[in-house]
Amino acid sequence: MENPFVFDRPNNISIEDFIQFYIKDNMYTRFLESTRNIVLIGVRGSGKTSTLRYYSFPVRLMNDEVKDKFEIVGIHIPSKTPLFSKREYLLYENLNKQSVVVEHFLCINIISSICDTFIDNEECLSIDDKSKNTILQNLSFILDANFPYMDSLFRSIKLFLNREANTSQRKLNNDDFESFIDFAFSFNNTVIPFLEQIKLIPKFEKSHFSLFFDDVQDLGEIHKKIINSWISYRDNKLFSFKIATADIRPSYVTISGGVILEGHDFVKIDLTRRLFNKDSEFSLFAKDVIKQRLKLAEIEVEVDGFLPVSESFERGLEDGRNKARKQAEKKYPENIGTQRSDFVSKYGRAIYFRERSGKANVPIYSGFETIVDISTGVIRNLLTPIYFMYEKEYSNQKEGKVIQIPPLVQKEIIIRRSEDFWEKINNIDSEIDNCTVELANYINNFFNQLIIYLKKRLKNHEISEPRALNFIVSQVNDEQKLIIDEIIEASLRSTLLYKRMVNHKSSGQKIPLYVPNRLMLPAHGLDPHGQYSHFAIKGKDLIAAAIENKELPFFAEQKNYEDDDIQLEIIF
Amino acid sequence: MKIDSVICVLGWEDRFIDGMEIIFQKNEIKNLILISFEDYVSMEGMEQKRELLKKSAEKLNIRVIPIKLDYSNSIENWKTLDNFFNENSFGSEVLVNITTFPRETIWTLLFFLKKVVNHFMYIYFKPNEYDKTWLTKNHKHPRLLFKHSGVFDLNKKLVLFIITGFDNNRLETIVEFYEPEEVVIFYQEGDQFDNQLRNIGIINGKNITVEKIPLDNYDIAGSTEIIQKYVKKYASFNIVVSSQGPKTSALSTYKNYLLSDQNIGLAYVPAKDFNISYSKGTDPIAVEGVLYF
Repeated sequence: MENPFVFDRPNNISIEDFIQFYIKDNMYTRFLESTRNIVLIGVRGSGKTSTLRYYSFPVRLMNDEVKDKFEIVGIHIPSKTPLFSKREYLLYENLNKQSVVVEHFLCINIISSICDTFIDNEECLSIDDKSKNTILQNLSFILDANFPYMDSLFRSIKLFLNREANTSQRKLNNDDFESFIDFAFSFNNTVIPFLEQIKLIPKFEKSHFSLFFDDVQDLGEIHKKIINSWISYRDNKLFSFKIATADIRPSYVTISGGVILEGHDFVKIDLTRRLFNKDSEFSLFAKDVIKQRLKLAEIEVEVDGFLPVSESFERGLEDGRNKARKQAEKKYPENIGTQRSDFVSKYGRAIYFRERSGKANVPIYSGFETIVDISTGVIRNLLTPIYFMYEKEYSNQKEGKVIQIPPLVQKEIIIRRSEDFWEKINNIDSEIDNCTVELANYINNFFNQLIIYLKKRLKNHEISEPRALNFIVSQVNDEQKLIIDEIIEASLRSTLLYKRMVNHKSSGQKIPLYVPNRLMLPAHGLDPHGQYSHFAIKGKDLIAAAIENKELPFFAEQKNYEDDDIQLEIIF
Repeated sequence: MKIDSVICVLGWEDRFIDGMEIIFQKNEIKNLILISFEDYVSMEGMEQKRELLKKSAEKLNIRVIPIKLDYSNSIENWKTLDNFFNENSFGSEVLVNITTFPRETIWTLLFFLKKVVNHFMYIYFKPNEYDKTWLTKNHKHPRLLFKHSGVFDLNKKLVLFIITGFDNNRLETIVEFYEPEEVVIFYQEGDQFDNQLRNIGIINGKNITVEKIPLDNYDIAGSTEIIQKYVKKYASFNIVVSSQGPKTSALSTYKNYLLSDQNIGLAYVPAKDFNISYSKGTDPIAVEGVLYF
């Protein structure tokens, strides 16, 4: 039986399955169905490709929920094509020539993606011979080229395009590559006329073409600048761009050195808001995702039944809550308002985790909520462990159908993945681009010290937020900033950390909140559930932890601590 | 044997200087083209080995022609080698000691070499042992080599050929980077292969078909033939070859690139940090032969 939790590239799944798998988030609909330019920002695995695919033409065509299939025509344009990995453009001394070459391949990819979008759905476009001939004749005239005549309009165009792609690649790889320049496609002389021509198809008469650029973070700087230049056109009657990127700090610079502006040129959608949210929005979404997959695999069981919590884990947590309740009764004899229940929810879990014997095995991490916690709000992080749990359970049992993942299997996979995650931290310089041995050492020191610090918080009886996991970096001078940025940037790239912007309550300033990937916690017996809270790490302390492997100062252990040590009030 | 020019890359390992001494003893050489990566000459033992080599060459009246490159600047390196080959001639009998060449430099050199000769001799010295801890670190993203980036068909899906070697921990990174439809792993026969894949056919929960093929990277003709068989098998795919195996695999992949009418792309993964104890000793029995363009 196929594992229903496979987290494959969404484009590899059939449209029928995709429509069933995909859980729509209505928050984005009005943007992705609009004619505005959109920049969709989300970490790897946060569902950007799925979101774009859901609004693409082939999916909308098959989706019964979509009433007007031709109003907004979404074209999915993948960036993971080896055409974009070609680097010969760098051999041109002249920057204009470099951009001509890059724009050429970007245009080829756009038109190729448009053709791919319609080739399998051409029947529903009801293109008559007259329209087809007119379009081919016009394109022949505009592009000064002969188009092969085939039954399918888009196959004819694709065949022409393939020949051009082939010829241009050979030119680029040969000695006479200077001749390439006069030959190249540009957005203005190729893509726009092409879109104008396919508007002649009656079904597209009133259509708006939405060009979905996916995985833009994988493109070169020059590619991004060219796309930004196209976004700056602002005339969105015929087409608009929807750009999905995992870039931590996307560049908005255009090829001419200008900048595209949020609000004017594009609207930004930030998928990272799921990373740490007070309401349980992601948990509800995650439950829907798993529920849907169970349903499609005909596993008739509730999500909590499929991923049950271990009895001992649940009992331990309940004991912790009972102990917290007794402490609350002593502390708040009057019980004004929600004093006691607040105390229990703050300290109950902490008591369970802190009172576990040092020699005891790690808790039996299990249950739907635990897996959601460990995912840190990233859909791929949610599905991947369940995928491996399913594989393990499938090989364990003989009946051929998995209807439940026993808690011990859940724990085994969670711990193994957590240990693998630490292995990844240890080998960080082999995992990511541009990470020196020295920087890898800093990152290892910092995360090891962070774990020691989190353990101290959890074990402390006095502090109000023992399970806080997220942090901000405070009091950073210019000199410290350089090295801290380097450590943080590499940690973000390797998903050891996630980041979201939050507002500082008193100043109103936006500041980055760092969310450690919670997969790192189970291997150390820590609680991945966290707390709606954060703590501050001073720049000098972060540097000392990273460079000198010094412990992060814990304010509750220090006699004189500054206000900043406790907590800044921030709004999420 | 009479050799017009020997080409080598300055290295810090024992096998660099030991290998060059063996080459000097066995052959009558006119020119030594010594490529050095100036951003790495400060590595321990590098300058000392350069001086030793120069002295040995001097004794034998071998003209030393230096080429200075910068490892972190592939664009300038390409242009430097382009100019160098345009402005100099080295005779028809050329021996390339590939032992300490970076992979991309082997391929770049062959691109320029094939414009001036129709064949060359190669030699490769294995060490007695590799360091057990790590060999290279701080890798950059995979790159397609200039002018060898293949000719990709818009209608074809991608297959990634990976020639694995002693550093296998980057397999997933490369697969993530290219997101191929299929992966063919060519691994060294014997016990050197330390496979990181847990399940055949599955990489990190993704449905990617993985085929694993043993070959002997030190048998250039044999491994060329095996790779060629799979190039033909995957004719309906765009092919990118990433060579991470012993340096000799750079020759078999280049030969396949030529046989494919330049349709396959050659990819490499640059590393920035190298273990100073990368290898120890020199196996005096070299892998050598002639490659025709």
